[in-house]
Amino acid sequence: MPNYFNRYLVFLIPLVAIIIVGIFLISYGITDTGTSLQYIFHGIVMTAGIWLGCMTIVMYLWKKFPWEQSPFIHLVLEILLILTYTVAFSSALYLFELKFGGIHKLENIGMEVFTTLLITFFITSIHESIFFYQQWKYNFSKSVRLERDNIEARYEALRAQINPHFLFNSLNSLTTMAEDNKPVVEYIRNLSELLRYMLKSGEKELVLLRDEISILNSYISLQQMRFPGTLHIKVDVGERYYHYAVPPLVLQMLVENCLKHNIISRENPLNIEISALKESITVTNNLQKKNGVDSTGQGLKNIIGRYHFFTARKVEIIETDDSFKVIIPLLQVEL
Amino acid sequence: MISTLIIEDEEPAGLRLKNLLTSLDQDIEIPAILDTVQSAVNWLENHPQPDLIMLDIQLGDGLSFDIFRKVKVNSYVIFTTAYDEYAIKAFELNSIDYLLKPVDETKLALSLAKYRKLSSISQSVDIGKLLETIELKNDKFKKRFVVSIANKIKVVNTSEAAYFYSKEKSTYLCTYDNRHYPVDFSLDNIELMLNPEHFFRINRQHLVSFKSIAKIDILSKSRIKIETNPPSDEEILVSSARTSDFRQWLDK
Repeated sequence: MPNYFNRYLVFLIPLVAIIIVGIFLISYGITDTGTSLQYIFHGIVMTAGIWLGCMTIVMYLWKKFPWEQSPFIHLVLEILLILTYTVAFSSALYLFELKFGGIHKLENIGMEVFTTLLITFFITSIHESIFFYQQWKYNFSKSVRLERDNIEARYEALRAQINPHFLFNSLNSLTTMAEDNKPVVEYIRNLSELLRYMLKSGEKELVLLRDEISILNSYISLQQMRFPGTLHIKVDVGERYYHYAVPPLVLQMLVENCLKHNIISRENPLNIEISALKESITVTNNLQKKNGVDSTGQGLKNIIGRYHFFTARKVEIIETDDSFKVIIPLLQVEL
Repeated sequence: MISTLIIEDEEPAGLRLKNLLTSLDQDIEIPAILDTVQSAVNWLENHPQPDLIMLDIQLGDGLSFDIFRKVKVNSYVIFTTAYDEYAIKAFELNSIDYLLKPVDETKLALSLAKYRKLSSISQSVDIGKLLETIELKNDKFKKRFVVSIANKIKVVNTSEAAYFYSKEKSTYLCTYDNRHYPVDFSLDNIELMLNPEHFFRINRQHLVSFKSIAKIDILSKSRIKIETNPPSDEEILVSSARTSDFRQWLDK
C-alpha cells in the first residue's frame, strides 16, 4: 500500500478550503463578517470531510481490491461508495447549516450537492493518480531491489566460498611460474586487480571515477588480450572528472554488455568509446548484434536501478541502426 | 649494498621476489629467505639488522607482526600481502610500505625508490606505532554510508547512525539527530557490514546501535521492548528468538 502524505494534510486541507472560499467571497463581493465566517466554516468542514472521506475510501479499495487483482469491483465500489458518501455527507452538512445559519436555500441544495459530487469525482481521480504513481515507483524500486538482493546473495555465497588469501596466493604462484612470460604476468596482474576490486566493491554504494577508470583499464587489457586486433576500446576521460562518483563496476558492466551482445571478428571489429562530457559519461559502440544472445536487459536495468536510488537524473539509452549508446550521470558526493 | 631480508612462507613467491629485486637494483643482496615468525626472530637475533625487509603478513606459523613483539627491528619494512584486510593504507607511514600480491614490478620499483629517499634521512621504524595502528584499524566494518536525500548525495558516518530500519521494502538510517535517510542496502547486508559489538539486530525491521538504546522494558521473560533515542515512530520489540542473544549483547 503506498503511503499518503498524511502529515501535510493538517495544513493542506484548511489552506485549500480558505483559498476556495476566499475566491468565492471576493468574486461575490461578500464582506459581511458573519456570512464570511459561515462560508469559511462550511468550506473547511466540506473540504476536510470530502477529502478525508474519499481518501479513506480510495485507500480501503487499494488495500482490499487492488487494481491488478480486481479492477472491476474496485471501479464499481469506488463509484458507489464515493457517490453515497458524498451525497450523504454534503446533504447532512447542508441540512445542518440550513438549520443554524442563513447561507443556503433549501431549493438550491440539490444543485449544491451535485456540484460537490463533480468536485469529488475530480478529487478522487487525483487521489487515484497519485496512488498509481506511487505504486508504480514502489514496484519499480522493489523489482530492482529484489533483483539486486538476489545478485548480492549469489555474490555473498561465492565470496564465502572463495578464500581471498588462497585466490591471490594462487595467482601469485601463477606469476612465479610464468616469470619469463611478460604478457602472462601482466594478464595475471590485471586479473588480480579486477578480482580484488570486485571483492571489495560489494559493500560500497559509490566509488570515485578515478578508481573506476583504473579498474576499467585492467578489464579492457584482459579483454583485449582475448581479442587482439578485433576489439578497439578508447577511454577518453580527463582527470578533471576523476572526483565524480559512480556506482562501482558500472563502466565495466557497460563494456561487458557491449562484448556480450555484439559480434567481434576480423571482418567486424568492435569499437567501444568511453568519453566524458559535462556531468556524464557516454559509452558508445558500433551495433553489430550477435544472434542467440538472450537480451534480458537485466544488466542495464540494474544500472538504472542503482542510479534511481541516488539521483533523478536519468540513465539514457540511445539505440540507432548502427550504434548503441548509454549515457550515465556522474554524481557529486557532498562531504 | 642494500641487504634485503625476504620473509615469505611460499618458496616460489620468495624466489620471485628475489629475482625481481636483484633485477631491479644491482645493489641489492639477499642474505636469506625465511618462512616463519620463529625463523625470522632467530635470524634477526643473530645477524646485523638488514637495511630492508620484505615481509609477508601471513606466515606459516602466524602473523608476521609478532616478529616485532619479539625482536627489535630498525629496518625499512615492505609488507607484502595477498589480501588487504588490515587497513593496509595506514602502513604508508615513514619507513613502512606495502605491496599486494602478485607483486607488480612497477610498484616494487616505486617502493624501492621510496626506500632510497628515506634511507638517506635514516629513520627507524616505529613498530610500536605500527602495531597500534594495526590493532586499532583492524576493523573491516563499514565506516560510512552514502545516502541520497532531496536529490543530493551525502556521506553519513556509521558513528552517526542511531539505528537502521526497514519499511515497505526500503531500508533507512536514522541518525542521532533524528534525520532519516534511505540507504542502498538491505538490513541483512548492513548487519553483516557493521561491528556486532555496536549494532544488534533487534528484529526483522530494526538494527540498533548500543548507544541509541534509551530504555529497556522487560514485559515478560521473552518479551523485551526498547525505546531508542531519538525515538522511533514504531514500537520496537526484541523478537522472542533473539531475547537471550540481546541480553548477552547488552552485557558485553
